[in-house]
Amino acid sequence: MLKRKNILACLLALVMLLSLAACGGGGGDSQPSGGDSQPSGGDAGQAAPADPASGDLTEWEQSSGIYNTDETDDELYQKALEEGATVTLYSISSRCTKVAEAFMAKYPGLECVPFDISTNDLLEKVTKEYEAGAPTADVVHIKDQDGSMYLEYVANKIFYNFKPADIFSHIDPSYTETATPLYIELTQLFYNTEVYPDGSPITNLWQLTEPQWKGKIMMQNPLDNLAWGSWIAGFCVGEEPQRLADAYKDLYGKDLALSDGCENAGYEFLKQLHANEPIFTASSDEIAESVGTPGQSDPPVGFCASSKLRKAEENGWLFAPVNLEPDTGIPAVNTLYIVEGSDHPSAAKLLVRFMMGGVDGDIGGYKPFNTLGGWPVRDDLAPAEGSTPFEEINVAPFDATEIYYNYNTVRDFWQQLG
Amino acid sequence: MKPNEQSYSKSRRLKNQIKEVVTNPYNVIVVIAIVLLTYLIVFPLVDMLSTTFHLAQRDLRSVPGGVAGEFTFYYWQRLLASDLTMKLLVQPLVNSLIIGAGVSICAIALGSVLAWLMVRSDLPFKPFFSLAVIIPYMIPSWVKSQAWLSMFKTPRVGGAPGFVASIMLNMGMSPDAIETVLGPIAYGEIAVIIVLSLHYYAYTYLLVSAALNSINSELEEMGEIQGASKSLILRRITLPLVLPAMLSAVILTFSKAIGTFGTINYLGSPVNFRTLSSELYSNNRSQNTQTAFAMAILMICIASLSVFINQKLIGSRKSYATIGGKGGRSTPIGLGGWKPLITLILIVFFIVGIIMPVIILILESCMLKEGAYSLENFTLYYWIGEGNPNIMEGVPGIFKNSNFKLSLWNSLKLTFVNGVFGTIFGQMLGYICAKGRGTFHGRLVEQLVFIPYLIPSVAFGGIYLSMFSKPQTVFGVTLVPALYGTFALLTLTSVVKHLPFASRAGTSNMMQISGELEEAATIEGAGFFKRFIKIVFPLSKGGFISGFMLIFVSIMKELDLIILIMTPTTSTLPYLAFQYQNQNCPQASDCVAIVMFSIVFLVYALANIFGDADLAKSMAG
Repeated sequence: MLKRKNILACLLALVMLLSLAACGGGGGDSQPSGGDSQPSGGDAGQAAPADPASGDLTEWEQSSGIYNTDETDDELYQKALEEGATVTLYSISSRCTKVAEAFMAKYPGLECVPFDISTNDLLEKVTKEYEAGAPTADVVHIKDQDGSMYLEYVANKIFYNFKPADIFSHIDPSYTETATPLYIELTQLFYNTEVYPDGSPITNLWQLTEPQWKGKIMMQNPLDNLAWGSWIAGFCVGEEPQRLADAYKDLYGKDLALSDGCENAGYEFLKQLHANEPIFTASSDEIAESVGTPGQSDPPVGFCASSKLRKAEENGWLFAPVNLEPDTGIPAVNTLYIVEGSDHPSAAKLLVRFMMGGVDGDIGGYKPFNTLGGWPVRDDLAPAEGSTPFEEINVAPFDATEIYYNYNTVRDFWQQLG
Repeated sequence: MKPNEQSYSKSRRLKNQIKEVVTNPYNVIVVIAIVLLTYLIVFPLVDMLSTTFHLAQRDLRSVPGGVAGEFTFYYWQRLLASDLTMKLLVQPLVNSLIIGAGVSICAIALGSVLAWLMVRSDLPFKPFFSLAVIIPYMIPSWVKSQAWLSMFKTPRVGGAPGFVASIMLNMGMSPDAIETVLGPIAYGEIAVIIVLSLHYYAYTYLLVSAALNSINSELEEMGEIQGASKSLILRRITLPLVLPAMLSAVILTFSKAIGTFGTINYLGSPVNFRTLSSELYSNNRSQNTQTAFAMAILMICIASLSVFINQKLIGSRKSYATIGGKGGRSTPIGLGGWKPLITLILIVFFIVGIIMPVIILILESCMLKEGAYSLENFTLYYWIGEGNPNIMEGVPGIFKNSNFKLSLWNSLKLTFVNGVFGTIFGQMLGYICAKGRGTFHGRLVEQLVFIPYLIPSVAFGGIYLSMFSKPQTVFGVTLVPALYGTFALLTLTSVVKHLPFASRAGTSNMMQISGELEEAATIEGAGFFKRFIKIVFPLSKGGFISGFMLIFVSIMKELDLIILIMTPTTSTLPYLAFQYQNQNCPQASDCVAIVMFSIVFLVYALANIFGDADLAKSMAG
């Protein structure tokens, strides 16, 4: 008896389940591409972002005037007040709070809501909000390190590069080709200045593959995030492998022999670097601390974000970056985007202009970012006091498209190494 | 009954049976639970699964001729049968299983012994110990990892060497020799297992002590009268009775250990020790969402297997009912000559493993500059500073910061509301699992409830965000309005994500409540809800409290899940801590962590005091 009851109960449940599944199936169709966390729709990644001159503009492109770059700050301010007087900024930097304060002080009546969030969460949140038709962010501050911002988000018209001509005239066009750049950071090799007062024990990247540095190189695992993955990809694309091969010849006086499975000098370098057992850490801070802590006898060297320079004094770290031959890898360019469907396009434009340093001599929006270890992209803005001029630092060429198409290959190559 | 059997018509009998099934509140609740769980758990899972079979736009570059969104085996083939399989899946999986097994064994042993000592023995200073014992779970695991490193860090990795290494250096040992001795302890699986065991033994402790509390010591005394030795009583009477609780703890611990990331990242990275969860997080952060999801699904399968084994072990025959109708007297068992030694060991354990990390955390929150241990470096700025432009870029200390008050309020609201809701649902589900033990629906619910545990927070939050950003309609009728940006969505997401804790606590708890009690009430004419409120609920208070604590603490610490769901204006304490950490202000971040920890501790202390008092009263009456 009891058993039969249970069977009946199960049947009942099954019926409910089926009907639910049926309803769910129907409801699911109305959702844009479900769990696909990648931006979908639009043309494939290869397609270049629409040229404002050609083709028809979408409704939002028209209403927002996203391609209209002639408006002055005052015009934008007026329009911003009319369209809702608020703007939301998603940023990977904690300094966005300061930007928001400065923005609200300069443009009374406008509200700026800053949201400090990690790269991964930011992309997930923006994508999901966008897909669900509830875009919350108007402006996004992130880094386009692997080219995906340009080749996925901009190409699919989820993000827009707002290109104010008056400000762009102060920026090297190589940075503005695929992005609206804010400032540049680097991944640099640091050494302990207490133990090596006469300068770095390493000046050429290839020295890191020598036996005496085995297990004494700190870095983050390139598998762990997009930033480091893009950084190693940068060694394997474009002119960089040739530059590495030349640097090898300069150092050892002979040509580099490529081992099996290494397509070019970039892969060879990664292979030899990996074989030298670098120590991976959970955070960039740990690397700075390991290298820079005073009182060590045999400190390691380590790659970490150039922005750690501004923490050096506060923490008493004794370290300095090396100007490596042939270079320190690709730069990490901080970029700004306006999100499609934003209800506050004028305020968004005004905020982008403000963060980029504006044109009226008031650089209050850029100031929070102008610190040691960060370099302005504009030729009319001076880097923070004590900075090495950017032109003097050896940096690898950055080509968003090259990195994007080789990113997976290089990441898999590294994974294969163990 | 027999002679009259023929007089009933078969159809009438069937009708009555159907009526009985449909109108029985228990069945209705089971159906509602299964429907809800399907909607809230199976859908997201199917969503994840289907993601792993569809080509993402970002992988077009690796799949020549592919079309974004088309069906593909690319991800699974890459994971299960490619050159990368060994490095991407097999090695990490083996490491995960080692960690899972190691942590389970250590944590269960430690937690059970502590629970037995606290509940059943005549240990001195019990009130103090039983409060202290739960602290490790409240301390973020990265604090423990750091504490571990500050003890054992070797000179090879640079920076300041750990405490033990500096003693060895002073004794004249060479760095290479120190590396040989300390290297394997400082990093890798041993370190991970020890640190995680010190974190997760709390599951066992909470569940097993709740179970032990409900055991009537007469059962043990009966054994004693029959001349059984202490160890025999322990093995043959006590242990079998708390087995469901211990196995529940094994499942929680094992799954959590294979799913955890922070500690493994801290203590495993330097020796390139990677587990499935490290690969999952790495892929997720590298925007390889599909691969990450596929790994999460594999982890869910492993966990389901452990739940399945548990169901087999518990079986449907054995009875674990310890809460009967008779009085629940509990006489402590004497430790005899071992008492001083055990007390001493416990005190040392608490000082080293619990008090030290807390003190280090508090000290660090009062240091103007990190790592400089001197009196002039002492400051309360990060707590009560008014905003000095030279410190922390002019941001005032946390108690003077309006942001802090807002976050505190949000966190309190979130944890209390979710804790209460989550625990109630968890107990209901536990009731279903326990009463439906051995049946299909019981097993189904038990398995379903467990899934959210292993879906990475970012993925889970993302799926809920897209599910509930639009109104959910069925045949044109709006069932659920658009919830994005509401507190309701935050609650729903956190409750479902943390259901496993509450329902595990509920299951092991409900198994101990004898069915006779309910049957007696049924005979007296009490309905289902009356039985639940008057009998089941009061008797399960202990499990209720441990379930609440487990949920409360995890939601208090939750960041990834909530950050996706919340709007920029609803900040919580973990978010504030994250922000301070981002602003290069670990001290302020420590302050927030201490506040979080204090809240949890306070709630636990109150629950302990009032909960116990109530429990004792209801048992006596």
